Order: sequence, then structure tokens, then C-alpha cells
Amino acid sequence: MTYTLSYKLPISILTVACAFLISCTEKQTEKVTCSVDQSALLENYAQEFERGISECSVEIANLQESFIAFQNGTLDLDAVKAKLKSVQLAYNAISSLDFGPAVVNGEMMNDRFNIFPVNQIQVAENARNGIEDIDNLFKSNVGLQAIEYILFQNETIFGNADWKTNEGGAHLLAQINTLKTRIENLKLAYTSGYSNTFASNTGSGEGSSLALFSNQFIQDFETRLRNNKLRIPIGKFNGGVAQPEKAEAFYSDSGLELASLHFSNIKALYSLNNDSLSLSKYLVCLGESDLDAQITEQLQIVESAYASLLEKNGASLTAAIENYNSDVSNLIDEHQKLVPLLKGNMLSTLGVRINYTDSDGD
Amino acid sequence: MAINALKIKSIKDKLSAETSPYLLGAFRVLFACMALYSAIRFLAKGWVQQLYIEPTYHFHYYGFEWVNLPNSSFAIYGLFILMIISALGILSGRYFRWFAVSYFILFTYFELVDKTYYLNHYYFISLLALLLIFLPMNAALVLGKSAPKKHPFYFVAALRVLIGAVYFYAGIAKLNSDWLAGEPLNTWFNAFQHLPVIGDFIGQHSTAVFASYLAMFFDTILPFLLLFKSTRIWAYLAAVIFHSLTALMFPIGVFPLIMSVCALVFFPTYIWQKRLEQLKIIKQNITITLVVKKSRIALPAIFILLSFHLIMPWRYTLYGGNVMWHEQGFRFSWRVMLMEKNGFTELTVVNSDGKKYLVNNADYLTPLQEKMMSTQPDMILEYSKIIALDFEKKGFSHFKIVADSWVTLNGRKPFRMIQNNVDLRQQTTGFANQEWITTWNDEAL
Repeated sequence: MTYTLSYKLPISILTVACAFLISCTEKQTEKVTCSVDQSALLENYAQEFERGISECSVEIANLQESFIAFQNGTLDLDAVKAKLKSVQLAYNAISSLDFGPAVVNGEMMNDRFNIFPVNQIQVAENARNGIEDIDNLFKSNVGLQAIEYILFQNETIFGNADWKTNEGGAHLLAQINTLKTRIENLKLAYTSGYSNTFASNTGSGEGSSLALFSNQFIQDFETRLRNNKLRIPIGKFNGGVAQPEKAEAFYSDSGLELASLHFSNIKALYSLNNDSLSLSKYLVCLGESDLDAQITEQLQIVESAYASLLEKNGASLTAAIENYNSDVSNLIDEHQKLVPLLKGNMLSTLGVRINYTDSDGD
Repeated sequence: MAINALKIKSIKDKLSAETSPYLLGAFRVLFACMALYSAIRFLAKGWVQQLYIEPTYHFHYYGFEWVNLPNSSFAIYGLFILMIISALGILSGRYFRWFAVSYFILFTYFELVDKTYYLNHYYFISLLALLLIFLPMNAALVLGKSAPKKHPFYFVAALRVLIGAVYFYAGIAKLNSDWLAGEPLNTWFNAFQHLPVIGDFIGQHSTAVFASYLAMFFDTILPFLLLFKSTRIWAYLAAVIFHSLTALMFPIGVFPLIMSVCALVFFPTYIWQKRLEQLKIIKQNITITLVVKKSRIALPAIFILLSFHLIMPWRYTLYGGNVMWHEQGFRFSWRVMLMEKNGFTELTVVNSDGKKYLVNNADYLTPLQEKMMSTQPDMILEYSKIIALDFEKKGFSHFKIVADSWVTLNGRKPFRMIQNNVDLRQQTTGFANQEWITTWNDEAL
């Protein structure tokens, strides 16, 4: 038996070695080893996140100041509404980073900032009752859309009562303060160490920064932008019966503008600025310049589609759905073309698995 | 002819020879410990809640649609606790068969509830638990009993066949063009390029190809190397290193631990007894005079079980095409870590009045269910049945369901997986070849 094995083993090893050599000569030219410094790549993204969080934090502080000034009678309501829009624009720049310290007690940042549609009846009731314990309210009663509803529909909610200095004002200020606290905590988490943690957590396996970010990046694009901001309002899930009241910023009627800005931020995150290491450059480094070119081209197509629609329609999604329905449908189709490229090819190339939950094997 | 008859007689004699019961006894203890660890880990991670209680719908295995969860989450946790108690019972060895049956039924029940969570090692544990029912696992090391009983060697052989076949099939499943070209390992190894010193080496495509060949040869020949005395210890050490590496590199849960423990059964029964003596778990030089009672059902049951185990992996040959693409015959065939599939699938309900209702997957499925459904055709079909039922409840009667499904396999560009003009509502689940799945054409990708 020992004798038999003494030649079988070397033959096996020889076969493995031969197979290896043959396969090397055939395949080595197909892929290039990527020499991108992943820490630098992640550091760029961490800086970008910090910048976005900081901007959002400033805008929320501005909103708070302007609302207090409005309560004091030194600023008019339109100025507060304008500040709210600045917050909405700033928030859309950071909605892709809903991981790490953005998730508090298992609750995602978006669940407290930007759930829409809101429960109008409940939000109105909370405002009339001057509820200030915002953390204990359901997500459909809090955040930017709830604030927007109160600011833009104050007459419906309060009638002719002086709401700004009474319960209504107290509730609205509590809503703003809650967002301010949350964003400031997030900013603190990033500046006091998470940026470094994020940059040093290299690799693309489960739990790596690249996996966390790219999974959120895709989810933000697919669910929050494509589904929630476009497909639901136009009625794609509803037999074509439009539901503009389910859109973001329905009360300020600027849903299309916000969706466009959200998309521009996703596009910007993909390539950062041209000189920085980004997902785009990383794909090129991994030998997938064709894929990068395809993604870049499609991102450009979608951005142009937004621009042309905004030009002829303006910021209102409701108007766009009514007057330019086929353009909105076309816009959604162009979004859809990005899904297989990002979710399929890009994630595969990056070595990132779509992971929404812990796993136990294969 | 005479030589053959002699050989057969010799094999028969070896299989029937009475042997020390300490291999099976100790393996029972190890199996129970793994079962306990695995179940407690499952609970601690909150998976009972997340995987069984939270989802609104579950994906069933064909023929097991009747396997459903109780409505009360209390009852679900209760069943899980019962499974843990069964594992404890197996550990003690008292009333072994009762506890083994109960563990097998409960473990398999949780596995059958939703195929989203199919894992090769869950299936392996089910098979192993079923086999253990028919083996004299309580012939030694039973709590409160001191009289061990010898048993025929064929019980140990059955265990080795079950475990060895897992390795062997996992090895030959790797004999496909993608694997031998280094995929999906090449994609997965990209995740380690950042590591200092070894990152550059791991990032080489040739490393992935080498590792692919090595894993293929390793899995295929390991059970044979474990059979022979001269290679056994080295093969086992190699297996432990191999499993440890896979545990470090990939999120494969308890699989490496289970296989590292199971491979121990290839060590001879007398070695198990010696080690237990050295560890002072049993007395030195015990003379075993008792023999386990013969069972009339054990041998036929083992034969049927092992036949099933050995035949199941071949059923993919009945379908033709690329099994990694259509996945008909993919499960229960030890195709472990063979592919990287990403993609998306969306269904649209087209009503007879021409109105189209795109289905929001998030309304019906958990993110994990959506991810698994998106790339597995049989789950897409079952999903269409769930949607059809829901729309019927809403008052729709004349409608069809079409799928927009794009999937990327092992790093290729996305390819449509379901024919987009097919009404899935009209398609039936079952073992017949599902012709609505697009044909794999590597050249076109």
C-alpha cells in the first residue's frame, strides 16, 4: 500500500503543478493586479462624507436659527422655507452614507431624516399638541418631510391660530433640534475617529468599508432614489395611477429638483473629482475600464435627462408627471440601465457581495 | 472469479467485524456539541427573529409547501429551544434514538421552512442527523452507563462514506471551466489585495487559478488520503489548515468547524479509544464483552440513505445546460462556494386592461430574500406565485406576470435570466426542465 502511494502522490502533485503552469500561461494576461492604495481611496471617501455631513450640519443649524428668528418675528416664513430646502439639498448629498455611526440603535439615519410620505393626520396632531419628545415618534411622523408639511400646510393644521410661538412652534423646533443633534453626533463620530476607522478598514470582504459603502450606495440609488422618488409617485407600482403625494418634498413641490440633485450626488460619489481615487478609478485599476466607461456614460445620460426635464418643466415632480409623463418614464428607464452595471458588474469586480444581513455560509 | 469471491468475503468480514464503540460514542458527543454551538449561535445572532419571524412570506422547497411556521413567535422560539434540548439529549446519550429523531425532525423542519437560507452544511447536518439515528451512537460514553458495547464496523464505514462523499462531490463539482479559470476565487481574492506582504500575491490571477486547482484536487482526493494510514495524519492536518484558511477568508459560518470535526471519523476506532484513555475519559484497557443488538431496519435504512446521498448530486445531468445558471439540480449536490452571482429581478403584473403594476420587492420580501430570489430561477417562479395570489386577493383575475431579470455570473457582464415574454403565472413548479429560463450561452456574454 505504501509503495502504491509513493508514486500516486508525486503524480498528483505533478498534475497540479502542470495544471497551474498551463493555466498561468493562458490567463495571466487577462487581469492586471491593481495597485490602488485602498486606504487612500477610503480616505477620500471619508473626507467627502465629512464635508457632506458638515455642510448638512451647517444647513440644519441655519434652519434652526431662521425658525427661531421667525418665532421672534424677525424673519418671514418664506425665508424659513428656503432654509428647509437647503437642508433637503444638503441631506440628499449624504444619504448614501447610512452605515457605521449613521445607524443609531439599529435605526438608519434616513428613517429619522427623510421618510415620505408622512402621516399627515398624526403629524398635524403632534404639532397641535406640541409634542417635543421626537425620538419616540414613529418614523412617518418625523424628519424633513414632517417639517415641510407643517411649514407649508400650517393653515390647514392650525387654521388662523398663532402657531409659531405656541405648541406648533415648540413641536417644529423640537423636530429641527432632533435632526440637529443627530447630525452633530454623526459629525463628531466622523471627526473623532470614524473617518480613520473607515479609511483603515480596507479589503472588500464582509464588514469592510468598501462593502459597507458600496452596498449602501446601491441601496440609496435603487430604493431611495429610483423607487421612492420616481417609481412610486409616477405609479409604476400602482398600474400607472400617479401618486405624486407620495413623492419627496410634495408640499414644497420640488420633488424633481431634489431627485435630480440626489442623482448628481450619486454620480459625484462614483467618480469624486477627476483627480481623486474613486470607485471609478478603482474599477479602471482592476482592469475594467470598459465597465467604468459604460457606467460613466450612463450616469451622464441620466444627468442629461434630468437637466432637460428640469429645463422644460421646473422643479415640480407633480407637474412633470402630469405634463411630461413619458419623459419621467424614460428617466426611470435610464436609471434602470445603471442597476445591472452597478449592482452586477461593479460589485462583482470590487469583490463585494450584496450583504444585507450576516451570513452563515454557502 | 475465485479471487473476487475471496475479496468480497474479506470485505464482508471486515465490515462485519466487531469494533470498539468509542469512535461513534465520541463522535456523538462532538456532533452534539457542534449542534448546540450552532443553535445557540443562531439564537444569539437574532436569526430566529430575522429569518423566520420577520418575513411575511417564505420560499418553499418543491413538495414541501406544507412545511410552514406556527403563527406565534413564542411557538417558533419554543421549537428552537426544543431542538437545543434534543442536542443536549444526544450529548448525554440517554434515550439517544428519541433525541436523535427529534433533533433531525426539528433541524430539518427549520431548514425546509424557507429555501432562501439553504446552505450545504445545513443539508449535511440533516443527512448526518438522519444517519446517526440508525447507528449505535449510544454504545459508549453514555451518561450514567458504564458498559460499552461493541458494534459491527459497517456502522463506522457508513459514517465515512457519508462524510467522504461530501468532499469528493465538492471536488468534482469544481471541474468546470469557470473554476479552473480561477473564478470566482479571483473575484473573491480581490478582497484581500490590500493586505500587507501577502496582498500582492493573493491579488495575482495565477494565485486564484492555483488555489482553484489545489482546492479541486484537495477535495476530490482527501477522503482517499484519509483512508490510508500512511497519509491520514498529513491529510487531516492539511484539511484543518484548508478549513481554517477558508474560515478566515470567507463568511462561511460553522462549516469549517463541522468538516474539521467530521474528518476525524477516518481515524481508526482503536485510536479513538486510546486517546480517550490518555485523556482519562475512560479506563485503561477496558475489555468490552457486550455487543449491540442487531437491528432489522438499520442496514436497509443506511443503504437507502447513502444511495440517496450518492445519487442526488448527479440529477443536474438530466437538465443539461449550465447548472450554475439555471440551478436545476444545484442544491443538495455539494456545490460549495462555486459561484458569485449578482443581479436583480423585478416582476410586473400586466392586467387584461393593459395596466402594468411593477412589483415593489420590498413590499413582499426581506432584503436577504430579495437578494436570493433575484438570481435563483425557482425562487423567481415561486415569487410570481406569491404575487399572483396577492393580486387575486385584490380582485384581479385576468393578468399575467412577467419578469425583468438580469444576472451576472462569476464576473461576466449581466445577462437576462428569465425570458421576458413568458407569463410566469402559467408556469408550473416541479422537477421538469424549466424552459422559461434563458439558455446559457457563454459566447454571447
